[in-house]
Amino acid sequence: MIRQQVLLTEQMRTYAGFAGLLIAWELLARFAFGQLYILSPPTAIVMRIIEDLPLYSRALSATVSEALLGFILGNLAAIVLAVLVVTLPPIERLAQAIALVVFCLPLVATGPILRVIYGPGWGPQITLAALSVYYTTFVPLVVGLRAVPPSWLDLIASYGRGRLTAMTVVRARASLPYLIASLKIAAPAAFLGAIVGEFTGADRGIGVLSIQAMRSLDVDGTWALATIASAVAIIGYAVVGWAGQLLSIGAPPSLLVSPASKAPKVLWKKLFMAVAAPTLSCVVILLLWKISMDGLDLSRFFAKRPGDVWAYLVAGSQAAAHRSELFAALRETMGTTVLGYFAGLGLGAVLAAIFCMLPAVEKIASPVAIALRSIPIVATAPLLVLALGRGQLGMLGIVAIMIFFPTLVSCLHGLRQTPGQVIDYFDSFRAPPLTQLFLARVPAMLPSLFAAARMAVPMAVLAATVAEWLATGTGIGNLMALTNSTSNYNMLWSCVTILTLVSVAGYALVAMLERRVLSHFAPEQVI
Amino acid sequence: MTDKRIDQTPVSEIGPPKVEAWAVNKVFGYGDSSVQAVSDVELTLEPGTTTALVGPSGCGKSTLLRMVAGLETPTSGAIRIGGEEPHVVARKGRLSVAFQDPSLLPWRTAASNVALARRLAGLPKDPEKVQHLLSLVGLDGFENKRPAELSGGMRQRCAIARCLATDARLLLLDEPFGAVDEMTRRRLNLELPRVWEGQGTTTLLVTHSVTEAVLLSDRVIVMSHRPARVSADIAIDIERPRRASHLTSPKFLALVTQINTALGIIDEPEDDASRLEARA
Ligand SMILES: Nc1ncnc2c1ncn2[C@@H]1O[C@H](COP(=O)(O)OP(=O)(O)OP(=O)(O)O)[C@@H](O)[C@H]1O
Ligand SMILES: [Mg+2]
Repeated sequence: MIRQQVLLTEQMRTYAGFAGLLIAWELLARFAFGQLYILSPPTAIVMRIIEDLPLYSRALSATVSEALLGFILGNLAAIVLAVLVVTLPPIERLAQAIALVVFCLPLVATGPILRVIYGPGWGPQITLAALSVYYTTFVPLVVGLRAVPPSWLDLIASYGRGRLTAMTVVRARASLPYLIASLKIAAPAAFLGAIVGEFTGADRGIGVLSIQAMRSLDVDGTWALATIASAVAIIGYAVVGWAGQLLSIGAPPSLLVSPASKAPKVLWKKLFMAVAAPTLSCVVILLLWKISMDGLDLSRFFAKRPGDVWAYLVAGSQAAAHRSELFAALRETMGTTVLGYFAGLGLGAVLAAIFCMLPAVEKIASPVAIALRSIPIVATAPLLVLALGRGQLGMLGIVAIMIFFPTLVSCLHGLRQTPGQVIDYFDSFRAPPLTQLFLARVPAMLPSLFAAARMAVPMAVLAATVAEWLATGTGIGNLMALTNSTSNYNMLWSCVTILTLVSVAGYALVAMLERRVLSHFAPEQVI
Repeated sequence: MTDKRIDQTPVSEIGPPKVEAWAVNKVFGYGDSSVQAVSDVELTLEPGTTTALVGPSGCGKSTLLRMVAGLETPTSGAIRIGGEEPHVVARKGRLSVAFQDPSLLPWRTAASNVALARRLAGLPKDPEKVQHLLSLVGLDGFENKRPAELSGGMRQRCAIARCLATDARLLLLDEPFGAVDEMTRRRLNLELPRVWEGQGTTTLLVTHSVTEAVLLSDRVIVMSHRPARVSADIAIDIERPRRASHLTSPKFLALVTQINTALGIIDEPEDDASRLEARA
């Protein structure tokens, strides 16, 4: 009874939080920003949605279908790959490397390339939706399939059963919490992928409508579409979570921890891992690239091979000019992206720490943050462009916001993981809250912060390039948009290659830092 | 492929096996950080007998048992079960291990955890047997509870029931009663041997309780720490079935004292109070 009441009041508080937010928004839009054409009041948004319902629902059904297909395909691929990696450990490094490279593909530029490959239709949107979910399912699933107490595996082995039985009897079920948690994230991500696909040249869908609305400075329309996109994303997130609850599958102990693989002890093996393994992965990826293009018999005009990019950027006679054009654009992009990246990360971590010190605020803010986290920020980019302007500030904002919410939620999760005994121990000394925060909670938060920082690298690049493609007219995003419209496919493929390399390098850099720091603060996380 | 049963002979038609170990060594790790967990162990378990393994914590009891179960391979030396290699015997589902930690699957109920053993051993389902074993270990009414809803001792009893579910002729028990309270432990000490004696089993039991070792076994092997080898081998010639009354017989107490002496705990011949960790 009492428990129910407590739950009820907690829910009331959450609803009160949302209601307060809405009222503040309405007032702000009506009275403070009325003349600026950036903020629409909630009532106007709702009116607009009702007015244009037939148009919106047609577009929505297209986008949702694409997202759903991509969700299914991407997750299936992730599950198959994860099971494969866990049953055949030797292929792990290669599989992880390929998965990471595909994850780091700049979706914005991949879209147009896919468009010329597929021709008109839903192909690119579905592929992009699949691409944007599979890595966030693959990584936790590998962790989940592996995070099985050795004694359970001993039990299987003591009856002489092998890996197959271990997979079906133990690992599959033990990894379900991880799978559900990643599917929750995947639902909005698939929707985001589909919308990014639509941004780059589809003929129907929510993404198409929101670009039109943004270009014609239709503020209410842009807000209405962003609202629809957010609502659908939150519903997707909630439906998967609800399915998990229905199957009574709990939350996993940790999310998105780095895919740990045993560090070898012998020197020559270490050398092999440091040099030969990455080289091998590169070779295999380049081969896969070439073979898939050749195998599908795609025209060399738009489906470039590794050799073409090499010639364009390094070996050809004009290579130096091409390089300087590309790298000038890249430099322009990177400045803002890196700034936005750190702003988003820092803001997320600091706010999580503040929430943690003020439990009352956290109770209200945390559900709001989780709901907002599931909004595909990039899908609302047209809106942010309207609100923040077409300059570097707008782009910075998009990148920072894109990273802020996942970081906040991940850090809150990490802060809650501080072992109860440790807190009790500090309490027994009446340690002041700040001491407690820095000595007990922040170290417990670090693994989550780093996990978020790692996954945020490609997200930051995506956000920056989307902003440039749609609005700012600067940087490598703009270069890609230009080359796309002039059919300069050599440059487009070169941009994709370089951006992927930059993302992978950033990811590797964060992962390296993560190992260093965690081996100091949380050695149990580093194997 | 690894999961194919090699031999379909029903387990019940096979007698308890003889277990032999020759010059078994086990080293973990390499170079400076290596640990010699077991050194030069020679051991023969006669068919149908129960042998207890006692020794200070960390002296390699579990490691030896795991090697017999085919879960670790000896660094040198050999182990044969009825003339076959341990992992071959395991693959035929003819040995059963109760692990030091119960390792029940948390998403399965007590009954389905017990039933799982039969599935893993490639045996047909037998709900009645499962039910019988669960009530034997005192878990009536808890068949449909998940491990999280059971106490530590109940979980361990469930693991014992699971271990007995396959009618294996070789039981390897690693402190099966470690988390069970004294009263239940004594009851199980007296009741469970009837199950495996009735069908004829070779049993290897690792325990920290000297009393339990004497009460259950035909032979007690004392292992020493550093070097991790057999330091005494004591026959227990008390008639079976063992009863609670044996606990106070002079012969019993003399054997307990003898083992405690071998372990180096002479001043407390009484029993469990002298938990060996305290020494180690
Ligand atoms: N997988 C392993 N890797 C490295 N060392 C190990 C491993 N397993 C056991 N050891 C070491 O081997 C030694 C013997 O361990 P074992 O578990 O056999 O002891 P034990 O006699 O069963 O102790 P206890 O009574 O506490 O269960 C210990 O020093 C332990 O640290
Ligand atoms: Mg042990």
